[in-house]
Amino acid sequence: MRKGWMVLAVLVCLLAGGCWDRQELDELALAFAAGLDYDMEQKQVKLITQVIRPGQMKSAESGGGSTGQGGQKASFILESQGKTVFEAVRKASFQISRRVNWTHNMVIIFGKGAVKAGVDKFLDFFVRDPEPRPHQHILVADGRMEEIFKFRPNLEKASAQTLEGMMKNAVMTSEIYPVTLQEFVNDLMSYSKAATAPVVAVIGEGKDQKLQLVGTAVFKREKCVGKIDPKETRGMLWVIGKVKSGIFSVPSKDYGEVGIEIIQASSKIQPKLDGKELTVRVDVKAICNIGEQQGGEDVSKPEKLFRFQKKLESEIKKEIEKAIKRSREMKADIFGIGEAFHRKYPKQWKSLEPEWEQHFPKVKFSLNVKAKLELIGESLRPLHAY
Amino acid sequence: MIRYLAKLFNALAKRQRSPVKQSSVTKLDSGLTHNLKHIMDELGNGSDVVNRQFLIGRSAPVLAGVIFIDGLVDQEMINDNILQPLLRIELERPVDLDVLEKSFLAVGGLKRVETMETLVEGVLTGDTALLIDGQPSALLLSTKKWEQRGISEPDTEVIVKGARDGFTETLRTNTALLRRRIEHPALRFDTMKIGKKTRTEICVAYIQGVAEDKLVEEVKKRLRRIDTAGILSTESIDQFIDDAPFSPFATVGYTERPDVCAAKLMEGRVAIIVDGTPVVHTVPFLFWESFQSPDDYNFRLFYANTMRWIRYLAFFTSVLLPGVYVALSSYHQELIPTNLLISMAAATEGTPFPAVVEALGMGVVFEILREAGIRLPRPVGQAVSIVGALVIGEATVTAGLVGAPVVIVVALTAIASFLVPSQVESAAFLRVVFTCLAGVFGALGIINGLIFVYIHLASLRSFGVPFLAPVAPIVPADLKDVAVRVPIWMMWTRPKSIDSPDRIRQAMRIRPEVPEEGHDDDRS
Repeated sequence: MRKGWMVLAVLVCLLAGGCWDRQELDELALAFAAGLDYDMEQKQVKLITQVIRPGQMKSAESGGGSTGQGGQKASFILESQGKTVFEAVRKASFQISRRVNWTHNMVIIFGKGAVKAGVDKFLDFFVRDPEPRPHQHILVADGRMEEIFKFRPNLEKASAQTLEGMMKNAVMTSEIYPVTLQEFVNDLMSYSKAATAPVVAVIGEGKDQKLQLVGTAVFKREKCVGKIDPKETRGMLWVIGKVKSGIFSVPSKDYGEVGIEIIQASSKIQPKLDGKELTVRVDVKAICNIGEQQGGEDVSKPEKLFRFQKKLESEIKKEIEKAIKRSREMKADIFGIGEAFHRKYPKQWKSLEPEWEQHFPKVKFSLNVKAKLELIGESLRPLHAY
Repeated sequence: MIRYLAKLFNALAKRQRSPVKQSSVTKLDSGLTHNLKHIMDELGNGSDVVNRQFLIGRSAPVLAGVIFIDGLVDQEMINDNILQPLLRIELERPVDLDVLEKSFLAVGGLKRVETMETLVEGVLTGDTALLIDGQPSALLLSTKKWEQRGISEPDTEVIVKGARDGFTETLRTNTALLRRRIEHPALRFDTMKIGKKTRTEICVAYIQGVAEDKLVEEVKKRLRRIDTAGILSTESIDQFIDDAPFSPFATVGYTERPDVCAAKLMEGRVAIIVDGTPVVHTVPFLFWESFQSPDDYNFRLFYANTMRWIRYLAFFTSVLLPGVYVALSSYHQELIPTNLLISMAAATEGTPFPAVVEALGMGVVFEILREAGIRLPRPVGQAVSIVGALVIGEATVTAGLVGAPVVIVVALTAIASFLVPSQVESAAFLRVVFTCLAGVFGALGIINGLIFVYIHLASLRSFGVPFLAPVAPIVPADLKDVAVRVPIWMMWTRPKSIDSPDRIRQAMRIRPEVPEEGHDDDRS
């Protein structure tokens, strides 16, 4: 009998303790994008939240983009302010009937003010709170941030989805590196490596508006020190081995251009410390295919193929050199060279670390690019007649 | 007060246990009329009791009488094989039972009885009693025959490839079906009668030398313990001999198929056949047997194993799906893929109840419909399914009472549970438990519930064999029929978990092979 009472007692404890964090689906407001900005004068964090309306998201009516039944838009914007991000987040929920849920947030976008004020203090909330995912993407807004949030995409229902898709498609060109919250925060916390984030802008007016990734912002610690363009970004990605795919155009001898597709690429960074001299040997290997041939050169002939291969190698080298030049100008170690030194020379690194900013521009790079053209596609002879 | 009740209950139980003297034996009298009257009184002068008196012999006629129960006997046989020969006897001296026992009666089964009790019992099972004036004993002639259902395919265990016969309500037919499949003399049918009033014949079937003697003894011991007025179905036998009466999982298996039953006997199990029901029970019953279908052994290897895995999946679905749905939708939205979440959120927009209430409510609605579908006469049953599918399924969603996902989840769960027929009952119970746990604690509740269920399963035993064997405890030799069913020719030992004294089932190297070159030269 005692057993029965015990079971009852345990049951009461359990049932009384349950349910406390229950949240039905129709009590949630799903946030898809967060925009962070900072008002220097009032010292206020400004938060823009893109919240979706699930019913409108699902409506079949997609003409015009984002209005569903009853003319309601599939997403709307909440603007809130607070001394901290957390306060602004809570105030966002305060404006609507449901609680804003961050578990499916896709992108965090920094506005001009936030970039100026230093981005690190805005990110702690997103790392500390259990709701936001570590794999959402970090972006920097070029121009007015509200425009990005109010942008009406053609395919998707909310601009956050478009940005998320663009991040996935970044591998097509490798001219943008879609950095995740986790990676970004790791780079921010690193003493030597500079963090980077893609820059997004709304281009055009009215109906012709489109979202575009215009480059990459480079952060030294929390401060933005400059911007590099897409080609320079790929130069950087070659070195850190993050090039997944992409297209090169190499001029054909007689006429037109040859389009070359990167299939696979890898890199190896070997630092060398020789007295006071810092050198880095970078080996880049790229496997490419020929995707298009406008001219009349017969790429099925090995000697022609080798010529393009040589050309390709020098093109890649040029891209990398450009990126190195920019990084020296900014004194920002976007390649993570410092970390490579740290790994190889942990003892000497202790003396290098405090002045890495001074050391980095003096690091000598020796580039070693090996490109290999493998497949030439399904047509053997060039289309262009002599 | 609870202690007082317990005391009272114990006292009652003690009084129950004290033996009651009852087995009084009445010897048969030598006077025929007296005997007949006594028997008729014993049977309460029932309208189905037939009592016929006649004279045997021309020169020295003796009064004789037969008694039988109409409907339990073969009337034609009584007329042709008993009454006719007896009425034509032309002996000089008066006949007695010793003569009749040896000659005249063209009946297969014949037994001399001395006491009133055995006589009445025999008559009640369909025998015909033959009594002769002046003799204190009688003959019981086996004339059993009654209306019975033909052998048909069991509705509950339909298979695609394989035998189409099923057990019937008659014990003799059932034992015959097993004898037809196992023609070895070692097949034993040990019979006993249970139930003071119903006197149900119960048959313990096993193969001597294949089934462990200790197991057979244990089964008989448990059956003998049953001291009740009546056994009307095997199900009640099952509950009397169960290892864990309060478990949602049955530790006694059942089948309506003689081929399945024979296969289990061949593995060293024991079957319990009860007269009056087509359901035969087999022990020991292990958890994994629930997922084995006769079709598994009839179909090609890969298909059979795929179907077995589908069955495992279906069982987990039927137990966990509503719980997982509730946990995800009301606690762990981050685990749902974004697009699915949008769809779910859009579908549940504006529904008045939380997900737990929706899931439990729709579950109850389904059970009501299912029960109604079984009980109602077939033509009406159709109407019920239309009402169920259209009105309740469709209208509740359109009216915004429940979300469409819940209807999908409940429907899928309900259908999935029927893939594993022997676990339908446990799945239905556990489903409700897991849904409630998920509603209160989310995934935490489901995980803890699963741990409890696993512990419980691991603690169960069926007639001394761990319920989860051969997986826990692990018996490598027996894993040949759990996760995958290996080819039949590889199953060369009997299950070790059942501990048959005769371990070897078949020769080891009987894998089918292409004959070597030169063997098939008779082609030319």
